[in-house]
Amino acid sequence: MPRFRGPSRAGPDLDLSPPVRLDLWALLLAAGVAVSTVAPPLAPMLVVSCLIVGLAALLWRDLLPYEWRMMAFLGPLFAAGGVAIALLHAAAEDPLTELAAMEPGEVVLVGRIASPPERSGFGYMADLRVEHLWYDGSEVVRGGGVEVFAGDLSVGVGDRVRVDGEISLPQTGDDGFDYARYLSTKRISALVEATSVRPLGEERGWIGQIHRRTDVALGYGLRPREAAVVRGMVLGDRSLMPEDLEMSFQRSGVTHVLAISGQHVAILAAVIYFALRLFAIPATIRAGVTIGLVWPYILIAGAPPSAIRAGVVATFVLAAPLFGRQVSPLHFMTTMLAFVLAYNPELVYNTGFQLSVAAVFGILLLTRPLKSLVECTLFRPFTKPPVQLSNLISVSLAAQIATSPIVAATFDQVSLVGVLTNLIAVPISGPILILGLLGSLTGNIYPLLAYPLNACNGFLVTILIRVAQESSSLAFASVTTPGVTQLLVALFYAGCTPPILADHLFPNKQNPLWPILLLLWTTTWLSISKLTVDLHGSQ
Amino acid sequence: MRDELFDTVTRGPGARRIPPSGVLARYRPHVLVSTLVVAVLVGGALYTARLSEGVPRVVYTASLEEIEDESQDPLKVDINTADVEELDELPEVGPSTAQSIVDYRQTNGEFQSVDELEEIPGIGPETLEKIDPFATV
Repeated sequence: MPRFRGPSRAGPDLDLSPPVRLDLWALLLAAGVAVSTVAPPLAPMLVVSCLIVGLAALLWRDLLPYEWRMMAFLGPLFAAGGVAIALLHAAAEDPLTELAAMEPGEVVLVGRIASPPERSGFGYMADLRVEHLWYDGSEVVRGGGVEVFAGDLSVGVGDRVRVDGEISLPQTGDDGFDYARYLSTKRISALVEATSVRPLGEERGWIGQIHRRTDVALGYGLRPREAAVVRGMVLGDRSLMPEDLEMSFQRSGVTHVLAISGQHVAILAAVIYFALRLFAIPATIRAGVTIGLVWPYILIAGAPPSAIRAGVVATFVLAAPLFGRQVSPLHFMTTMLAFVLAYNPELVYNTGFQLSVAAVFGILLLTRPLKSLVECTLFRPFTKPPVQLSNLISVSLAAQIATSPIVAATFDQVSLVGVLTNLIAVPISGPILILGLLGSLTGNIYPLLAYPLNACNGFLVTILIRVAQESSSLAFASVTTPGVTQLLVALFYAGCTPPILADHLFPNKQNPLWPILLLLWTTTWLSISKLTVDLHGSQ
Repeated sequence: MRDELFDTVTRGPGARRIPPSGVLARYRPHVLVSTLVVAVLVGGALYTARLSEGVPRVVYTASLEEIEDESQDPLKVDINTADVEELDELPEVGPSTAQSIVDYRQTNGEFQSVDELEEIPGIGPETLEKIDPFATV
């Protein structure tokens, strides 16, 4: 890792000189976990490949630049570590799944609600972390998680409840959606169709209390539709969002502002950090307090994988200067991948996590080449291109390109107006989030204080809603892509690799050939997807 | 010309061979830290997957099979006589697979063994393993 040479360097010296690059350690470990989880037969091939590279580097000294040779030498260790982590998780027994597979009928569970209740086909559903499970009068299982379905679920996150109902295994839907796999990304093994869900005593969870109080606080001065949007942005809870509004957000490509993602965590961390700096609080305390406030927020927001990812990266970014380390976003991202996948390898199947990772990698790798393209085309007439605007367009375009295959495969449509709508949605989502948080806080202390804040927020939310609705009503707002396969997704990323590599190896700001090729490839891929789907449909 | 990274040979005047143990000694911190990082992450995975409080574990003294035996409503389904609704109750068997089992039975006659279910589209070895305790012929 490059040595940080700032004047205020403090903390222990973590540099391992002479210069040795071990930057790929996290990528190899994460690759070991991901490959072993998604395609176990390929795992030995990955380790053997790393061994071959390591041996070749040992025998043939000119194969790699000398600072990378130690990385090649240690590569098999990291890849094998990743494989071992995935195997440990895969080999873990799950008696809850075994019990559900027997479909034994009525069971009684006691546990804590782990997610806000959401509407389902017949009532509501919520995640439950199981403490005790009784069958036929005997306690059978402790631990694990189930998804509870009930006609009425008047409970909040953290509430301790007793659930009576029938336990079963999640089934694959008629559309091929593997519900069991989706639930496994949340460490949930079974479904319980509840006949009753009763809170135990007065033991209500503090997260649920905050959600309930936030609902009340956002009611002061906000209309229900606006409050539902702010609620989604502040708590990541979209259960009160009207269906038509959710569709508008999806078609216009701005749904991501409603999910607790890196953007939310970054905005919150930045506001706390710079607010503390205004009071001249020392950097160490500033970083500590920011980390200490960001993580409870992530917990309150239900700890979705995208927020955990962002929280880990934010922690690295804030902690790096304390240890005299350089802020290296790409290295932090791969390290985050290694940590988060070591905790739960099934997250590779989680759409929110995939989108979050793809968006950040896209922004890190594509923004610079796309920015030179934007400056050479859109802003060509300007002698001095507007930096903020070209940054915003490049970031928006980079995130859209990187996430489009996952969006196409998951939601069966890709927004074409997303690049433009995000130019408005992204800048105003920051103030909406901050005003929403302040409105929630003040509304709980003194409701009158919440009115002016919520009124200002209402104006911004109205703009956001109008942008989503107006742009989604355009005929070309999105292209439908039902039936995009994993192979097509892999093909897209494989096709993106050569222009990205070429741009980093042979950058040319005056003649941005590589980003043009990248955009052409994205358009071609979307056309191929549409063509494949049309051909499939006509058969 | 001297290679500075875990090279075993130097050239020119004063050339000498650095033994592998010397190479390891020189880069011991790198190897140590790397091994430690992998060990910590593997240990964390072990804890998360098997040892933590949230991991599901059996606490009843009886085995799950015994619980099934004790059940008043045994779950064994005769795949030669069961209708679509009964077959649907088998683990990992949905209505369409249940219908395929009935269709297969009508076309090919009665099943000779539960293993024959593997002939049905949508039932692989893993599914068969789950179905086996609850199916009979």
